Amino acid sequence: MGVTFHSFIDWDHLRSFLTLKRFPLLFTFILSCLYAMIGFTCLATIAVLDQIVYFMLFLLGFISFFSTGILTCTINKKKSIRILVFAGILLLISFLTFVIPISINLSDIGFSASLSNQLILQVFLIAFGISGGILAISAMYNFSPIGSEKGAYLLIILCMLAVIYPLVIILFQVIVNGAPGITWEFLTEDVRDIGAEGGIFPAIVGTMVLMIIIIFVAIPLGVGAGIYLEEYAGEHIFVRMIKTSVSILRGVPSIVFGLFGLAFFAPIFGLSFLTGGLALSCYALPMIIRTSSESLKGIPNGLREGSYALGASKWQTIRRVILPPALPGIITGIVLGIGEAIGETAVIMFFATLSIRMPPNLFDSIASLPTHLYTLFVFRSYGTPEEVAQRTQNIWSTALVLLIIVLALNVIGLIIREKYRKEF
Amino acid sequence: MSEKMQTRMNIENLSLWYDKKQALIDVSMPVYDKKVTAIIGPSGCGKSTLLRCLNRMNDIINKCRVDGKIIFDGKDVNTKNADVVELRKKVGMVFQKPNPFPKTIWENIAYAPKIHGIKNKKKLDGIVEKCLKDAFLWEEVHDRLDLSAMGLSGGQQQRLCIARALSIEPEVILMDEPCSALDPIATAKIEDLIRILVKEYTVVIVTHNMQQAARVSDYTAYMYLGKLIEFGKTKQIFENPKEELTENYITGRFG
Repeated sequence: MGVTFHSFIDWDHLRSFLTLKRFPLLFTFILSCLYAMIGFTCLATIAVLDQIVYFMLFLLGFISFFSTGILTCTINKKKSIRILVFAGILLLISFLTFVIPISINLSDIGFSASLSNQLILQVFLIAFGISGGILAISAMYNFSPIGSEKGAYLLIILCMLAVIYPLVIILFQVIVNGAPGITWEFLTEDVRDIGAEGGIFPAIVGTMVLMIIIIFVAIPLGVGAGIYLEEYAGEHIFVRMIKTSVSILRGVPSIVFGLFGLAFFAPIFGLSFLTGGLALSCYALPMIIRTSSESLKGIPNGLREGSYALGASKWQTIRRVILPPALPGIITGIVLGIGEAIGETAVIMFFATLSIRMPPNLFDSIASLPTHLYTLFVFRSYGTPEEVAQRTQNIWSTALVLLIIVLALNVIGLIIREKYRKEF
Repeated sequence: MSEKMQTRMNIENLSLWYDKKQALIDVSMPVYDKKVTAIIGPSGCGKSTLLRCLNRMNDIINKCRVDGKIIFDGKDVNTKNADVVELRKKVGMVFQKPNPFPKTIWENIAYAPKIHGIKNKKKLDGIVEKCLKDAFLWEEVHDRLDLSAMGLSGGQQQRLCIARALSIEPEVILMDEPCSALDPIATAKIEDLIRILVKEYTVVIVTHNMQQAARVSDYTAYMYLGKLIEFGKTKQIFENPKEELTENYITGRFG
């Protein structure tokens, strides 16, 4: 990102906009970015802004784009007219902020919800921010092809930001809301009063137990299947069917895996850690198989031929020449698969409880962080206001603990990957 | 003067099909001991295919059928019962695109001996040194044997692959256009290497470069559209071709 960003922001070119005549163009671009940021943040945090604020914002946008349009008249008439029209639309919307009713009832068209004007205005902010930004960039480069290219860069960076931004907001909220509740007692005590008091120790232990089961079941099966499908299986139609099935399985909703676990594993192992662990392993398998296959596929065929030509057998070739460079990819797949699996609620929620025996027995009922969170949420309004408040706090804190575990997993995976990558 | 010629390998009536398409049509030719045999011909004529039959590398290709005999050490190796691992220990191959393993230089050369049972580190060190010296690479890499082979230049990588092929002391070395991915200087080094290797090993080289064949080989086989058109001493093929097709190719009427 360092290189792209550097070539996106042309500092020398930017300095030329600090003259009075050209400043409005830069200002228009910055304003568009502000539009998108404000709109996004308000949308994500369900903030309510006064109508006057929206009015001022859109009015400012009108003034900004209008002056930009006038200034670029001499460069390209057609394009500057586009900007003037854009400015006009902004003016229109600034007046509309007072006309749109606070809440539009959708029951006339059959919905039982109502559309808030905040939502509409925030969406407008985002939409006009993005399109305005692209127009502004184009104007800053005198509508030349470089301008369009910078505009395309902008779109791509916006997409990336659009993905990161909500993630940052979510992380922020979880950390800020959950951190106060993370105490030593919280992490080590048993559950009391349906989560209104006490800690989440059983849930943490439960998640660890499930993780161990997944590691011992899903990794050998998944990596083995990946190796088989890529290296040993031929071109037979049956093989293609298996590969397609694995792809399809990745899209199967997790609750279906839960039902599968209930139907196939529960009669044998009961509603226990074994059932849950096996069901979660099935959930993680398609991802692990797929990434293992892809990693092996990425190893150039020349290496295999070179090894065979030296008289090596297939398994010797796989073990010594093909697997080592494929390991970083395989490990990433494993870490991702496990991370997804232990955050899963739907697969095990049918038979999860809050408290388990210590030391945990594989044939006992399951406790795990995601199901703990869910149960707390379902029961959150029971009891006195203090209990409700404490439970709410615990919900956020449980979420934070789960987040930290998944993040730690990913970091471990990254470290292992980098260690192997350095060797080649 | 009569040279007592020993035949190292004998190809008898070899035909090959990729699925339904016949790529080799009834090819018969000898491979003489401690001589360089070049296989030349236009693109797609089957040179590499023929070469790969000699160490059964076509086995790994799907839907490939090979008929005919390949006699090596008195036995036909083109049968289901033949020991392919033993064959490949004695018949090594160097590929068009250098394919060093993503390991250290030392491990690249020690790979094959290790697989075939040699575990003694001193012995392996000795093998690594000998092979790198034989491939004229020792001087350049002897002080960085534990660095990755991927850091070497193209020419060095190809010489590493040659050294790797020598590590299990084969009798025949097959080379599939070994210089086509290299610059002229690296090419010249490898051609010199071939002339020295042939004192101890039998070499079969496929090349699309006629001048290279003329420079480097003792015998030349000219192939066209899957058939062996002419085989003979290099001097005779290039100066006095018997077949018209050969002559057309040599003189550049088509290529």
